[in-house]
Amino acid sequence: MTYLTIEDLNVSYPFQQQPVLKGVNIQISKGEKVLILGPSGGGKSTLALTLNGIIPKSIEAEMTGTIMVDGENPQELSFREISERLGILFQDPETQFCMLTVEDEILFGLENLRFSRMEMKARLEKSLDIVGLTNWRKAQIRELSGGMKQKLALACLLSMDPEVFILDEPTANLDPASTDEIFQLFIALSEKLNKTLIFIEHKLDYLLPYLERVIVLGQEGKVIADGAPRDIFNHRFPTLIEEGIWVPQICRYAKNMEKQGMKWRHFPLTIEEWKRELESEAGAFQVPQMQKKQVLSNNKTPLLQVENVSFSYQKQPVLQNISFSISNGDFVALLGSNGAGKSTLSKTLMKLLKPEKGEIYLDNKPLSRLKAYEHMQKVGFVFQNPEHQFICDTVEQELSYGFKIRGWRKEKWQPGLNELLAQFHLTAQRQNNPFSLSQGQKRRLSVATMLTNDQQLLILDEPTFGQDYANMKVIMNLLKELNQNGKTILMVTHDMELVSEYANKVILLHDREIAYQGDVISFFKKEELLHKASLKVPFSYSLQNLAKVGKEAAIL
Amino acid sequence: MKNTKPLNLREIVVIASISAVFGVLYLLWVFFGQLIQGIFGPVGHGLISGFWIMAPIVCAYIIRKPGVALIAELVAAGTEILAGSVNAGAVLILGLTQGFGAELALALFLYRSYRLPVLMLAGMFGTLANFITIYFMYGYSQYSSIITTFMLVAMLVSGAILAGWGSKSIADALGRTGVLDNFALGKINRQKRVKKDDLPHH
Amino acid sequence: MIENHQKSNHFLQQVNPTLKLISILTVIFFMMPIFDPWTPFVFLLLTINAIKVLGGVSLRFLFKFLAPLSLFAFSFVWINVVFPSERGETILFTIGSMPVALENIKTGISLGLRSLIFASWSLLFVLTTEPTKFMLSLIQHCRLPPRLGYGMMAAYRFLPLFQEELNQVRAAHRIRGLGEPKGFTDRVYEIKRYLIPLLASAIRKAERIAIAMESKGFDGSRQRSYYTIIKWTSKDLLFSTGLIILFSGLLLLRKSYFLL
Repeated sequence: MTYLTIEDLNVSYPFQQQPVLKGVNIQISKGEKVLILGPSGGGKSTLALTLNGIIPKSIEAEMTGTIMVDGENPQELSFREISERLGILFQDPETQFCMLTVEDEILFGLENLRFSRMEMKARLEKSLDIVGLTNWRKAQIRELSGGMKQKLALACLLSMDPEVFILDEPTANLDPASTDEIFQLFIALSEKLNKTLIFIEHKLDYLLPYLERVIVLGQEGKVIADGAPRDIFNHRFPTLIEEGIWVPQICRYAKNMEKQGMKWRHFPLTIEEWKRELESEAGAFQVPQMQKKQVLSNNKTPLLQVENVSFSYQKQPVLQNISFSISNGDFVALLGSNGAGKSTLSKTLMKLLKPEKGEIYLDNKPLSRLKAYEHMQKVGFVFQNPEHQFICDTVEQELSYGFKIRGWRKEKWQPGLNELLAQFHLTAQRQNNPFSLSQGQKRRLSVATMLTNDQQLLILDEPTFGQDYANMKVIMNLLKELNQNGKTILMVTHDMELVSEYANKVILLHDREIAYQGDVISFFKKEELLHKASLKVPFSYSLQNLAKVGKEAAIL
Repeated sequence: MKNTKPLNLREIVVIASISAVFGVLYLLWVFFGQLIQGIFGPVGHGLISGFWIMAPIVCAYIIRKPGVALIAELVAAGTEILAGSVNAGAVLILGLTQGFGAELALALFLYRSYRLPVLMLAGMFGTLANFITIYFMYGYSQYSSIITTFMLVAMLVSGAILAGWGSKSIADALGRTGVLDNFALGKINRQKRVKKDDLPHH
Repeated sequence: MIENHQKSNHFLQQVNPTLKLISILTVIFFMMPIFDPWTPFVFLLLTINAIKVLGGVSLRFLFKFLAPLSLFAFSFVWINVVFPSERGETILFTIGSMPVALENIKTGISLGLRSLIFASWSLLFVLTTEPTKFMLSLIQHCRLPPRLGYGMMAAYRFLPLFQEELNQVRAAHRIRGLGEPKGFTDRVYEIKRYLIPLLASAIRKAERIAIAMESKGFDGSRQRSYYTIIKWTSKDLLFSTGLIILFSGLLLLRKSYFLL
């Protein structure tokens, strides 16, 4: 039975030449599990908000076509009526709540639906139980972790009991451990309650087996593919890549195998399927190897040395006896779960905090004796939110700022500026306001501003945070290029795929201490350590391991 | 350009958030401000009083609906009381009177003009209302008229410069970032840009 | 810390928030025509004691809030001495060529104490009232439109976030080579530089939260049910009676002793 009908939908925002959605036709039945893919800014979220009438009721947009939810036009329903049918879980855990405590937030939705006190109590308790937040009922929302906040947001929707759940990149801002927990909840939701689930996501490897249908929106806001996941990822693979759309890792590898002549009887979407397919063919094909990265050598000159650094905050130790060193030309990934002390460590490197014990050396000079000016000449810091670093009105001014404080004249910096603009693909935006750039452009600009002093070491706090696949690739390749040209890079990240593809050294911070420092491959082998730090080896690594095991079995 | 639709939720939350930002920033000034007040007394108070009317004028300039200045000032007061102000009482009364003051200036121009002189007048009306309120609340009638006159002048200057010119320049800078595209100010800016782009074709 | 006080179960915490708010306003109006130093002195003592006994707030905690205001309070004294509207007759001593009159000192002390009374009543409200209850009470008893009430709560929730963001922006700007501000104009420009990123992020956050609220079925209308209903109780009657007794007692004392 069709529950959602979208017919010939066109949406365009005021003053924008191109429509966001163009001639979209979709029908979704009760109980379907659908994944919507598309490039960022490609109208996925717009589609979600037209379904619940926020567009055009609250967000101005020109809209033609028909939308039916449960046989009704959402524009003619009140927000209360539509929320009984359809709920949305949003991306940013910080901006979904208007109350102070867990309990009050869930009640807010229930009060909107005008339930009696008895009914509210029952629904409150049930939804808390489902997401596992019963013990946090009276807790302040701001004390919850990002993952718990998303669980709470889900509990709010569950309590209102809509038929359709739209999950709009709810794990984009979460670390891998919390992402996993949230996915487990979705799976339970899908199996126990059999609700209609619409995922808008871009890192879904582990959720793939539970999806029945994939709808792909293209650059131009049209539906360019709609069908079973296996069909789409197998037969429409080139289109997806061309449009810069996320494709599961396993499908990338499977396609790679095809190039070598592998013929899949059953195109694999999970490791198990992959294994089953390969069992008969074991040894015949090579799983593409990870790129060989330069191995860590010991004779390189150390650039940054951290020696026995300790720090505590309000008498709580945050860092205990931290020691590590980074050599010239390294590409280092700094890992650690939330609260492991990563941000405190970066603050001490920025000289925003002074270590209680120990010393940090940069180029063999103690940091404490370096003047702020000298420090900035040697190290560039890229903050998680690029906007925080912007201080000028245009991209060009933003980039020339660094040259100007060095006292350079225009003739001297103009060529360097043009070079940076070209290198970071920002030439066309040179006169734009930094805040008005796209997510990817902002990130690139924030990296570029940190290179104007020819800094040797670049420290980046989650440079791919909030970036879509295409933008992530651009940034990471830029960093790789910089690294190959001799820059040393230290990157705080959660993303293990990035670690395996780009880094040549890992530093793991766990329980306020350095739990590992060394090369990447040996790190992936330390299963116990990874488990303890709630990290997971990247998908690509598991696949390769699988292949090795398969080969060994074949030899025996 | 007059818009008489009531404020929607989006605008209200934006107004309240803008006020909250000013509130947070004020904490940076608290010490500095108290020093000024302690040393220079009411005149010092006068010089920084325009800061209080910045949030409502920024909001009114951005959203351009009748009542925005008053509601913004009240919402700012409400947010500040929620946040635990040690001056909850004064804040509430001042919120009401200052809001009325600024609102009155905009109403005089029938909510059609938001040019710099109008905003400066709104700032001055706001600080004037502040002056009258604290004159009675804190018993400034006991001071010599010399000092109260100085204070009034300082407040009017602060209202015109900080609240009028300052608010406009902040809102305009904010407009350039693109975050106001969905608000009246952003739309006006974009219309201007579209017109400019069209010109060469004719 | 404040939250613990707001949540405790003392008498003042159980008084209706709206009533407490009204009480501040009546105190302000009550104090307006009073210029002798004794009435505000007794009033301030009583208020502080009420907050301690009826609100369970320790004096130390209270003084932490009041102490910074004493500088402001003191300014009333010196200004009244230096720039009085009418120079008093009882000259105590002279500083240079300026006579210092007892009457002016008294008025100054009175006004200074008055400002502390306003502050301590504000604290009485703030330290004993949970924000959520205050907002609910305004909606339920003062006909505040829910759209405004919940809109304010949403922004209030952002406060710690904005604070955190301000710290981030300051750090990020320092990294770009911008140092601590020197002097007044520097400070003003610094404020502007901080304001733009903060406001930009605030506006985007506000828009997102408004969308989230509406998609949870919030239409801003008065037609909604409430899980918590703020009731009027006998405590409110007691509080009002106490306030009236306080006012009349003070007036009586003032007439019979303080004005002599």
